[in-house]
Amino acid sequence: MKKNLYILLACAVVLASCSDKIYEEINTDFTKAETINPAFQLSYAELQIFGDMNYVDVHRLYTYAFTQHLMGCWNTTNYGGQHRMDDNEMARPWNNLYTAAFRNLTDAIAHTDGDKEQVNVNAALRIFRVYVGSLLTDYYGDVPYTEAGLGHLTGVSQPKYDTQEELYRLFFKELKAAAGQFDVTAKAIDSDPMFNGDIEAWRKFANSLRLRYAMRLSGFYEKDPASDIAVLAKSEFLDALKAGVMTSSADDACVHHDKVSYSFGQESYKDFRGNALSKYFYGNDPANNPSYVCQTFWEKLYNNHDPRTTLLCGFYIDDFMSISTGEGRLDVTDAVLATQAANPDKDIISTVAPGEFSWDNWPTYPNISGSALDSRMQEIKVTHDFDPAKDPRWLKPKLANNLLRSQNPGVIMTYAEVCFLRAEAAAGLLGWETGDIAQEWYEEGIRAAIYFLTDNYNYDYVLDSDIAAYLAEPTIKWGVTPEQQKSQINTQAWILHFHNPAEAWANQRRSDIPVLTPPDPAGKNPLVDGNAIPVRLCYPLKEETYSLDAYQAAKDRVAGDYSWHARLWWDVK
Amino acid sequence: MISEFRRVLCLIALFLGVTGIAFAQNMVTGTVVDADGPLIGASVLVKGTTRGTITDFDGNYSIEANIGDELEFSYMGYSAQTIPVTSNTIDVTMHEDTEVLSEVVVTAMGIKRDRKALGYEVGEVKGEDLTKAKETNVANSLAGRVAGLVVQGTAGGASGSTRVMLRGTTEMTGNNQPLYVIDGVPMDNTNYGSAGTEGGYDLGDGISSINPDDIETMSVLKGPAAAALYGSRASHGVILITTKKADTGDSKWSVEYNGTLTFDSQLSKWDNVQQVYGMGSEGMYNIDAVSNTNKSWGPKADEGLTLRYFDGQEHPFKIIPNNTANFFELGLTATNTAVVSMNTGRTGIRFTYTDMRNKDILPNSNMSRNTLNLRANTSIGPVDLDFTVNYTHEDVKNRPALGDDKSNVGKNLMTLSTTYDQQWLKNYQTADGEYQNWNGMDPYNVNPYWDINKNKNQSYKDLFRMNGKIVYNIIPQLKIQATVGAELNRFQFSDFKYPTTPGYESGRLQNSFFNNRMFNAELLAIYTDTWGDFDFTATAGANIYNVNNHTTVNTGTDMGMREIVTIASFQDQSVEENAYKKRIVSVFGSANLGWRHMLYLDATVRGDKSSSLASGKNLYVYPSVSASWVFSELIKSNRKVLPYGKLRLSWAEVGSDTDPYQLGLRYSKSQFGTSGYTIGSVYGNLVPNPDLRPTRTRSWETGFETKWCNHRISLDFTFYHQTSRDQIIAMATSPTSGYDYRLINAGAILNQGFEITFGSRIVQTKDFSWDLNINWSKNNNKVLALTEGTTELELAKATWCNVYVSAREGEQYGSICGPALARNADGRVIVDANTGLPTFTTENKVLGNAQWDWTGGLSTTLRWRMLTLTALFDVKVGADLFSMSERAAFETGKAKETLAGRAEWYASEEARKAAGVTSMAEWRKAEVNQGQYNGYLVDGVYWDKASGTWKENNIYVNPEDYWYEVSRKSPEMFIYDNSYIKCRELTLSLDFPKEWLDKKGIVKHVGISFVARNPFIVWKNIKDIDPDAQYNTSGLGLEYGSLPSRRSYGLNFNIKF
Repeated sequence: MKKNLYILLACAVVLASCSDKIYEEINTDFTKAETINPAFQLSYAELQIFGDMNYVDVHRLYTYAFTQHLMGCWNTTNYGGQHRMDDNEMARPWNNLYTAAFRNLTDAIAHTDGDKEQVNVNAALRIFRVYVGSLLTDYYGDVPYTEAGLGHLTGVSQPKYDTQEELYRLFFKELKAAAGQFDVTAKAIDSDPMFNGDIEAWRKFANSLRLRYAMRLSGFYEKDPASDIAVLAKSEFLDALKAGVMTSSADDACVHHDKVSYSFGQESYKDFRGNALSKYFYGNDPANNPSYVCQTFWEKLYNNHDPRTTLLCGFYIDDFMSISTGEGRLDVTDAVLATQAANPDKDIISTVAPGEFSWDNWPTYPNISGSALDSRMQEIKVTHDFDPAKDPRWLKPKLANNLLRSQNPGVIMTYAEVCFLRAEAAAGLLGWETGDIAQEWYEEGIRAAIYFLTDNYNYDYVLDSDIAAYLAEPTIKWGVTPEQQKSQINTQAWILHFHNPAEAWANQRRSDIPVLTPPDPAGKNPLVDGNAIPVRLCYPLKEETYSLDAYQAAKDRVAGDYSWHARLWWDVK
Repeated sequence: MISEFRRVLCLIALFLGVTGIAFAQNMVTGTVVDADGPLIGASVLVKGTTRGTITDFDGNYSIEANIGDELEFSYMGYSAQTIPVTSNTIDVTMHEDTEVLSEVVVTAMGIKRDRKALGYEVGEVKGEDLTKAKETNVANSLAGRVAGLVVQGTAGGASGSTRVMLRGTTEMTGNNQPLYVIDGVPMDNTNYGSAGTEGGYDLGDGISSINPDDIETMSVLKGPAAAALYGSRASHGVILITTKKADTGDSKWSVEYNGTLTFDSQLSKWDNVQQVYGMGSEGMYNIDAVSNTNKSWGPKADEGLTLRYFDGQEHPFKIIPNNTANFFELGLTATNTAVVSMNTGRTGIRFTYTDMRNKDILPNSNMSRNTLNLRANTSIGPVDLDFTVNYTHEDVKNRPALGDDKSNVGKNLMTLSTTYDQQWLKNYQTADGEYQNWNGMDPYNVNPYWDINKNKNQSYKDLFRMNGKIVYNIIPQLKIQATVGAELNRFQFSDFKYPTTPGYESGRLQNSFFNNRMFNAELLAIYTDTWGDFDFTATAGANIYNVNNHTTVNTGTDMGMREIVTIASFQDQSVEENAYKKRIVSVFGSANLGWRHMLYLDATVRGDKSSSLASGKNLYVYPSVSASWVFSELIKSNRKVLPYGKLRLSWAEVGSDTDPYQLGLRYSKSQFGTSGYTIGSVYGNLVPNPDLRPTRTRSWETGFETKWCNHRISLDFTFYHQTSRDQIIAMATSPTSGYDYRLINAGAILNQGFEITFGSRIVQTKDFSWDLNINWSKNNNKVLALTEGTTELELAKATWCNVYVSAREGEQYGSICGPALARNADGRVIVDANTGLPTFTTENKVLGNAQWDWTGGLSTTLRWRMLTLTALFDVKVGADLFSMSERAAFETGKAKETLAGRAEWYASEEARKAAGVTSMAEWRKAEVNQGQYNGYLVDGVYWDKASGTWKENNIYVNPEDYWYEVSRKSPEMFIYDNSYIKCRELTLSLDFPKEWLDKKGIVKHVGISFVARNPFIVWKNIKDIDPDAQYNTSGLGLEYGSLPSRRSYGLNFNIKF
C-alpha cells in the first residue's frame, strides 16, 4: 500500500510539473488567427453570392429552369425542367449560405456591435446579412434568421424558423437602422469588393433594398390596400425613396469578380474570386453542355427586336471551343439571323422549349443556297475541314460569349431595377404617392438595363436610335391599362434579372410576370414531381434529424400540404 | 530474381538426387511412457534425418537406427529428449514441459508475462506466419487470424491503407484504429489521405512501412484492460509489435535471404453485363458516337453495322466481351530481404534490408519500398542496451483514384457501353498532346488511358524511426528502464492534371508536404519478487509523448508553361498550411500478485494530462483490475484430459482526449490572393468547445482458456462488454447554426460480444499431422444514445441517391439510410398515377447496416514429412453494402436485369410513331393503340382518386426511365448483403531436411514455398465487385467504381547460412 502511495505521489509531482501555460501554447494553432478584420468577412460574404460554385449551382439546376431563362443543358432540364426534386440540390442555398456568408456576417456583427470605430463596417455587415436572409426566405419560406449562425456565440444549434412576415418586418427595421448608422468620421470599410468602402453607396443600397422588399409585399396592397401589411409596404417604399436610393448606374451593387481560369477541380469550390455563374454558363463539359437559352427568353427578346438580343444570345458552333477558356467558338449569329430574316416563312432558328433537352427537338440544316448561312457554312467547311450540318444544334440560341467571362460582376442590385420598382409603384395598380411618373421610370429602366449590359459586359454602346426604336415597339411602348403596364415593367425586370437569377425568380413569383407555361406533362420528358412550376424549394430532409421541432413547426405553418407547390407568404394571389 | 531461380533449380535437382539413396539400417525398439503410463503418438526421430516414427497404442515404437545415432523423442506438452543409440532397446519416460504450460506473451509496456497470469485476452500472431505469402501492407496479413480482429483493405490496392478494428467501433467519430507499439514506442499510423464523398486517393498508412521480416511477434491487446497502461491513445486496443533481435544460436554469424515473387491478377471481375443492347439511349445510337458512350440503352448489337467513332475509325457495333478486364495487366510483386546477424555473447547486431517492388494490375502504376533496419543490443555490467534505427523509403507512382473521383479508372470503365471497346480509347491525345474529345468532354467519364498516361501522381515517403532502450538491473528484483523513441516522417504527394483534362481544363498541380514528428520518452521501474507462495511484480513509470505535424499544400492552376511540371509553371498559385501539435504527459503504475501459480490479481492506474483539453479538464486518471484463476492446478489428476484451464475476469476504464485546437474559434485568410480586398473567414466548420471533457470507455471482460487431451485441443472463450460514454463527438448539426458540426461530449456506444478460439491437432502420425484452428467473434455495436434533440449522426455520405451512413439511436452503428420506395399498407410500391414511375418517401429510412453480424477465421496446416500446406480463410457475415457501381450498372443499362421490357417498349414506340400519335396520354388509350402499347411495368399500385382505392399499375414505361429514376432517388435497390468467405492465403512449403544440406553445416535452412494471397473467394453475395472494395477505411458500407481486387500467386525462397 505504501508503494502505491509513493506512486500516487510521483504521479502528482510529474503531472503538476507540466505547466498549463506550455500546454496552452502547444494547443494554439500557429497557422490560424484568433481575431480578424471584420471587413475581410464582409468581403467573403459578398463574394459568395456569385462566387461559390456550391451555392450558385442551384441557379443552373433549378432557378433558371423555373424562370425559363435557360433550358436544354442536362443539369437544367433534368432537375428544374423536369420538376425533379432532389434533396441535395435543393439544399444548396441552405447548406452553403448559412455556413459561409451568414455565419461570418453574424460573427463579424457580434464583434463590431457597439464599437464606435467600427460603425461603418457594422452597418454594411447588417445590410448584407439582410440581403442574405432575403435570399434564404425567398427560396424556402420561413427560415432561421434571428437565432441563426450563432453556433459558437450563444451555442444555439437548433434555431427557430422565423416566419416570412416577421423577417420582412425585421428587414425594413434593420436596413433603416443600418443606413442611419454610417459615419464618415469613423473607420472606413477597408475591404469591400462591392462598393470599395463607399459608405454613400452602401446607404443608397440599403434604401434601394427597402424598395425591393416593399414591392415584394405589393400583392397585399393590390388585394387590400387597407391591410396592415399593405400599409407597411407602401410607407416603407415612400420612406426609402425619401431617404435616398440609387440614382445612377454608378450606384449599382455589383460585386467585383476576378479573372480566373475555368476549373472544376476541388479547390475551385473554395475559390470565390471568379464569377461562378459565368463558369456554369461556360459549363463543366462545355462542348456538350453549353447554356442553351430557353424558348421563352429567346422569344421575348427576338420577337420584340430587343437590341439586347445579340448581347445576351448568340449562335455558336462549339466543336472548336477551347476547353480551358471560352475562346474558339465559331460565331454564326449574323448568318443565322440574316437568313432567318430573309426567310420569314421558314423556322430556321430552333429553340429549346421548357422541359426539353437540347437534343430532344433535333433541328435539320436548312439547305438554302445563296443564303448568308450557306455561304458561312461553305467558309467553315474550308477553314475548319468540318461539316457543321451534321449536328445543327447550333441553330438553337445559346448565351452570348461575353456572358462566359469569370470577371463578370456579381449582380446584387442595380439602378435599372430601382427604376422598374419606381415605375411600378407609381403606375396604375399601386399608384403610390411617390411623385414619380411611371412611364418615365419605365423607359429610364430600359435604358439603364441596356447600359448595364454595355457597361459591364464589354459591348459597344447601343445607339440611342436603336433604343428609341425598341421603346416604340408595339409590345414595349408604354401601355394603357394598369395591368398592361405592370406586365411590361415586370417583363423588363425579368429580362434585367437574367443576371440576378434569385431576384428573377422571386419577382416572377410575386408578379406572375411573365406568365410562364409549364412543360407538357405528357411530353417526351415526364414531369417527375408535379405538373405546375414549383414556387419554392423544400427544406433539406436533414433538418428533420438535426432540428426536428423547429422544422416541424415551420412545415406545419404552411397552409395545405407542404410541398414545393405551396406558395410563400408574400406570394399573394 | 534470375539468380534466385537458378538457386531454386539447383536445390530441386539436389532434392531429386538425394531421395534415390537408400540406407541399410539396424532396428531399435522401445516404449515411451509418462508418469501415468504409455504415451500414444509420441514421435521418434533419428536426429539429423527425416527418418521417424510414432508410438502405437501401447507406447511402443521401432525404428531403423545405427549405434552412434541419436534419437529424438517428442510429444506435445512434454520436453523433448535426445538419447544416443547405445543398444537396440531404448525405453523413455517423458516429462511435462513447464515451458508449454507457462507460455509467455508480450503485454503492455513490452513486459513478458505468463499467459496464465493474465486476466484478459491477448491474441498473438507469429512473425513467421507473415513472411512467406507477403502483403505489401502487413496489416492485411492479419485478416482472419485473431478472433475479434477485423481487417479490411480498401480498393486502393498495394499502396493503400488497411482498416484494423478490435471489438467494434468505440468512438462515433474518429478513426477507431488500434495503437501500434513497436518495441515499446508508439507508432504514427497517420493516414495521409483517403477517398471521401468526392473521391480522392488512399495515401497509405504508417503500419504499411513495417517489414514483416523484422517481426518476431504481434500481440493483440483487444480490450481496455489489456491496453490500460497505454492510456488514451489505446482506447481502440493495442497491437504490440516485437521485432527480431540478433540470433542467439551457436554461431557468431548468420546470413539469411528471403525472397518472394508473386504475380498479381484480377480477383473479381465486372461480368454481370447484358450482351444484347449496345451504345445509345432510347433504343437509338447517335450518329456522331460521342454521346451516350457510357450508356447501353441503344439498339441491339449488330456486327454488320459499323459506326464512325471519335478517332475517325469505323468499328462494328458488337458486344465486346471482358471489356473492363482487358484493360488491366498482370501485376508483379517482388520482395527480397537480406538479414545479417552477428552475436558475440553479450552483444548482438541484426541488420535487415528489404527491397519491395510492385507493379500493379493498373497499367503505369507501381511502387517500391526499401527498408533498412539495424538493431543492436549489448550488456555492460548490469546495464542492458538496445538500439534500433529504421529507415524506410517508399515511392509510389500513380495511385489509383477512388470513389467518385473523376479519374477513377474503374468507375469510368465499368459504365462504358457494351459495344464500346476500351482499346479504342488508347487514342487518348491529339497531335498537340491535348485531350482527345471522345465523348463530348464529359468530365465524369474521363478517358482512362489519358488518366494513366498523361496525368500523374506520385508520392515519396522518408521515414526514420529511432528507438533506444537502457535497462539498469540494480538488484535482481529491481530494474529501471528508460526508452526513448522518435519518428520523423516526411511524406510528399504530388498530383498533376495535364491541361485539357475534363474537369481540370486549365491544368492543375497540387503538392502536399507532410512533415510529421513524434517523440516519446518513458521511464519505467519494475520490481519483481517472490515471498513464499506469492509472486509479486510492481511497475511505476512516467511518459511524455509529443507530436508535431506540419502540412503545407501548394496548388497551382492554369498551367502557363506545359513543358515542365512544377508549381512555377502555373499562373495561379495558392498555399494552405495546417498544423497538429499535441503533448500528453502521463504517470502510471501497476501491481501484480500471484499465489501458488494459481491465482493472480492485477491492478493498474494511469493518469494522463493532455494539451488538447482545457486546463482543469485535461487531467484524467483511470484504473483497471483483473484476476485470473488457473483452476487446472486443482485437478492435477486429470492432466491428460484437461492439462490447462483458466478463468479470467477484468474491468477497466480508459479516458481519451481529442485533436488539438478544438477549444476556440479561429480565423484564416483565403488561400487565394486578391487585389484591393482580402477574403477572410471563420476557419473550419466545427463549433469549438472549451468545456470538453475526456471520453470514458468502461469495459469488463470474462472468459476461460483451456487445453485438452494432452494439449492437442485448446478452447478459449471471451465475453466482453464495453460502453464508451461522454464521447467527444463532432455532432452533425443544422447548418442554420452556421456550422455543420459542433463538438460536444455526448452519446454512448456499446460493444458487447463473444470471441471463441479453437485450436487442435486433429491428426498426428509418424509422417503426417493436421492442425486446425478456428476463431469466431460476434460483436453488438449499438448506439445507446446521442445528444438531446438528436437521434442521428451522419458519418459518411455518398454522392448519389441521397444515401448516407449514420449512427442512429437504438440501432447498430453504421446504419445505411436514405429515401425508400414509397409503399402502401400492403407493402406494395406506390407508383405515380401520371407517370407510372415509382414514388419515394420524403423521409430517410434505415435500409441496411454496415456492421458484420459475426466474423471468423479458419486456418489449417497439413504437414507431411518436409512438406507443409497451410490455408487461411476469412469469414465475414451479415453486413450490408451500398454499391454505387451496381447502381451505375443499372442506370447505364449494363446490368442484365435491365433487359426486361426493352424490346416491348421499343416496339411500342415504333408503333406509336407509325400511328402518328404524339401524346403519350393518347397512346395509353386502348382504342388508339390497338394492343400495341407495351414496355416495362413497375410492379406496384397507384391511388385512384375517383374510386378512392389502390389500383394495379397499368402504365408502361421506358425501362431506361424506370432505372434512371430508381437509381437517382433512392439507394434501396442497390444495397446488398456483403457476406463472404475468402481464402486469404495458401502456402505449400518444402523445408529441406538437414541431411540434404551441406555436411559442414554452413547452410542452416533452405525452404521453398508456393504462395498465394487472396487466391479465390469461396462465397460472396454481391456480384461483380470485391466485398472488400470500399473506397476508404471508414469501413462504412459505401463502394464506388472499385477496381478489380488483386489475387497473387508466386514463390517464396528462403535460405539461411
